[in-house]
Amino acid sequence: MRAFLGLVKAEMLLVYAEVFRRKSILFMSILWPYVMTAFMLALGYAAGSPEVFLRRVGASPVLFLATASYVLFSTLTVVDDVMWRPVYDENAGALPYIVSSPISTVLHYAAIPVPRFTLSLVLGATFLLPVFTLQEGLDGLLSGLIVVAISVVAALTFIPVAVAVGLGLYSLGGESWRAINVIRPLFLVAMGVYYPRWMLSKVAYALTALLPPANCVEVAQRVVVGLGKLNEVLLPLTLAVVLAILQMYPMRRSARRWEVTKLREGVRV
Amino acid sequence: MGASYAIEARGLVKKYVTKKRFGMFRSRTEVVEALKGVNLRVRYGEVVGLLGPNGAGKTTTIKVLSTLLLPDSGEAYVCGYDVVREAQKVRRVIGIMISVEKGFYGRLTGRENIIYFGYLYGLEGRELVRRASYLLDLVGLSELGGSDRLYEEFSLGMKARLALARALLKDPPVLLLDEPTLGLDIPSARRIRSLVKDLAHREGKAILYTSHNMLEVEQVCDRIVLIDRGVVVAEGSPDELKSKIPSVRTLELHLSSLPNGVVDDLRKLGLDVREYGQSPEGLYVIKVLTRRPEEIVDDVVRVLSFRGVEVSRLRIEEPTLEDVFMYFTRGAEA
Repeated sequence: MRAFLGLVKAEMLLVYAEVFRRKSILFMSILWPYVMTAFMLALGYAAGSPEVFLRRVGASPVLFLATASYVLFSTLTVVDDVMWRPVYDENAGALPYIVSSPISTVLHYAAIPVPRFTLSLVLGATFLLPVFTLQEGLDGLLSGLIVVAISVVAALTFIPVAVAVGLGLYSLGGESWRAINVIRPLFLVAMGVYYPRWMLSKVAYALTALLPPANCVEVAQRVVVGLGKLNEVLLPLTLAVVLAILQMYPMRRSARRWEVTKLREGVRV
Repeated sequence: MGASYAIEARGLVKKYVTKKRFGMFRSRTEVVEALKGVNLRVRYGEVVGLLGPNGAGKTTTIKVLSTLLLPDSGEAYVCGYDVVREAQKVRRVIGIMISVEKGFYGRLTGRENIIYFGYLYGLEGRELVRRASYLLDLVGLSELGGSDRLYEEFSLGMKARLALARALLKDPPVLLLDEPTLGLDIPSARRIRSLVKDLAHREGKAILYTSHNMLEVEQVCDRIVLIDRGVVVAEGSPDELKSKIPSVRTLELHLSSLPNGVVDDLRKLGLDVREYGQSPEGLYVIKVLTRRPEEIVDDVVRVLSFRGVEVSRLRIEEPTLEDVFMYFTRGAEA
């Protein structure tokens, strides 16, 4: 645990430098949820009316899409941080020094996304909580806080699968890692951020449920829609945590395989 | 396996398999033998220079020893730990410096970069902050204002100093330095050379040091291992190596003039004479390659006097490390 916290502190340094020393990134980080929600709302209003959305989905489009953007914003940082990191480190020339350090690759990759998604959650909350409060008063604030808590679980449970897929692709060698560009939008679709997953067919629902954050997204959506019975909230959340724990095995395998591949071909200097 | 040597490699072999592409679909697999049974030993308190032409296998050797590359066969131990089976233990006892021009995060300052890697190496808290400050002072980065400047604004010399500071973070007993002064300005290169010697001779660290700079290797290294095409071709102290090559020495003469036929007259004496144009002072320079220059000086001077050529300067050149390098490696073919 101490080693993990040390790694999180190290990664905090990087995130601090990347975000706070680049004003454009800081600006975009704050603005992103607003832009995304505005875009989705504009698209929705162009296609239909809020009443239709309310009737079909059972929630205000503003709250639903604000929640969707928030969860998306916070969980995708995990995918981006983990999946692009080997390329980033290799380009910086830091990879040989990381590989030759005595830390465990799994522990390092588990620590990598923590600072950025924490920052995303905090920055996003400054957008999400006022929207909920304005729409539904104090009850709305409570719902917003629940969405924040669920997003924390979503981001954390995303780590094992992101590491497993990301480092798995890198260990295939060659240019296989470029498949990340395809995997990323697939994750988006599977998570069901911009549509209620319970409206999917049973097969599609079951398949997408294998992605832990998809279950968290569903819980967040149910909270917004007001279908938040205890079993409807707890069951998917438990499933997400159990899946994440199970996915730690492929995560370790991928990390080990990536390391061996790198050592066989030689870590590029 | 005892740890009498800080570094010991026996019969290291490494082949790289690459694919050479022809157009869209055709490719051919090529195998490059980077190491063909390298043997190497470094004692504590000793700086060993690993010398060789490009592609000789220097960086591959350093990579194997620093657990960044798996050898195909052979054994290597660092502080008694096997680099393949006990890689994690090896990583705790080595400090590496590979490629000075990058290796850090551009948006972090020098100090932050050291602290970042300190966390990765298991240091933390006040101990880490103190160690970072000490190392930044030691490599002279604090005095250059590099501690709190962004890495992306660093000069090459500052980058190299920071890289050495990182290599020393854990205060490791073994340092693996791959061309640590490549492209550096004179003050930075001198600082690094002096630190390397101190670290070995005062602190007892074992240092493996690669470089292309012969003068530097002669100044810094206690022993030299010459490697070529993946094989160790010679090793010993600089003086031992010089004594191993056939002692062709050079008689260098600076002449007031060089009339036609003079060089031919000298060659008629059976001498290997080479012309080197004019010196900055306008004198004509010729060199005579011979095993015993002392024995031919009189004959040469007599021929020159007979042709009315005044000898302004005369000296005998001993073989240099560069001659040793050229003799033992492919350089001799160039």
